Amino acid sequence: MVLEVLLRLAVAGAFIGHGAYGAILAKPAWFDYFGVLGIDQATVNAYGLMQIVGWMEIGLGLLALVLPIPALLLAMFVWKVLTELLRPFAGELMWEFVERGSNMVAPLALLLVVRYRAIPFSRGTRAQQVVAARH
Amino acid sequence: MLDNSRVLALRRDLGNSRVLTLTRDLGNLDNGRILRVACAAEFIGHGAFGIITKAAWVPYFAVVGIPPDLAWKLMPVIGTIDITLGLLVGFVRPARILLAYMAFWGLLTATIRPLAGEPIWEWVERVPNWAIPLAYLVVRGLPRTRADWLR
Repeated sequence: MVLEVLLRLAVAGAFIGHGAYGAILAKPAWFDYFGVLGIDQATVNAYGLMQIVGWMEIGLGLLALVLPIPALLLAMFVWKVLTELLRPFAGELMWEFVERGSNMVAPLALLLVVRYRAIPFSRGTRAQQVVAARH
Repeated sequence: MLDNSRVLALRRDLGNSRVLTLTRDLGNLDNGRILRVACAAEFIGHGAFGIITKAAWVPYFAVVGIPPDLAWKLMPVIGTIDITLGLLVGFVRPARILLAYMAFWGLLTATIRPLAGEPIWEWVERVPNWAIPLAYLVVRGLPRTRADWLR
């Protein structure tokens, strides 16, 4: 229970906080990340891509906080890894990617906790789990 | 229609199937391997910036009254501590006291950002920096004796 609350907070924080840079602060560094994907600044502004991506991240973060859906958490994990990977490609140091290990792993850890909870018949007691793990 | 014993047998077979065993093992965070990797990466990555030194860090030191010239000297020290911690937790032993320190340090360094005048979102985005070490501590089991802190 405590574990799941911590992980929900972690996922929500990572996504809401990051989304706010785009949706609310419109951080100039984001133009570089779009640039890596071949999208220039004019296109980003014309279609309001920064706001779209930012609000989408905020929405996903809020959803993970109240209702963590496994399929969505898997998508969020992939999204987080790929978007953080844009940093070194945009000329930032590799450490910017490494440093965000916790942000990237949070959706995956929450996914595992949620999935684990969803298979009650294979769960059993701790002793049964140990026995089952050996087989 | 399946009677109860057949349902139970089916469930047992399903439970023993390779796919479900894999799901269960992945889902079993008892060993918390991915959280361990996350903690190590977070601190090694953060520490690297301390070694490299980063101008953006100077205002954080100012919050606690440390002047810029001393801040530049302290950065590699903090970086070395962070990297040592990351390597210890990642490759040697994820001792509970190290995880507790990571959670504390993660919270402190995240909180100092808004105090230095940065947007509150910088703090929000860094919730995992303390929540993940804390989650790993919970997975490992909270210490019952003083000796547990070192295990």
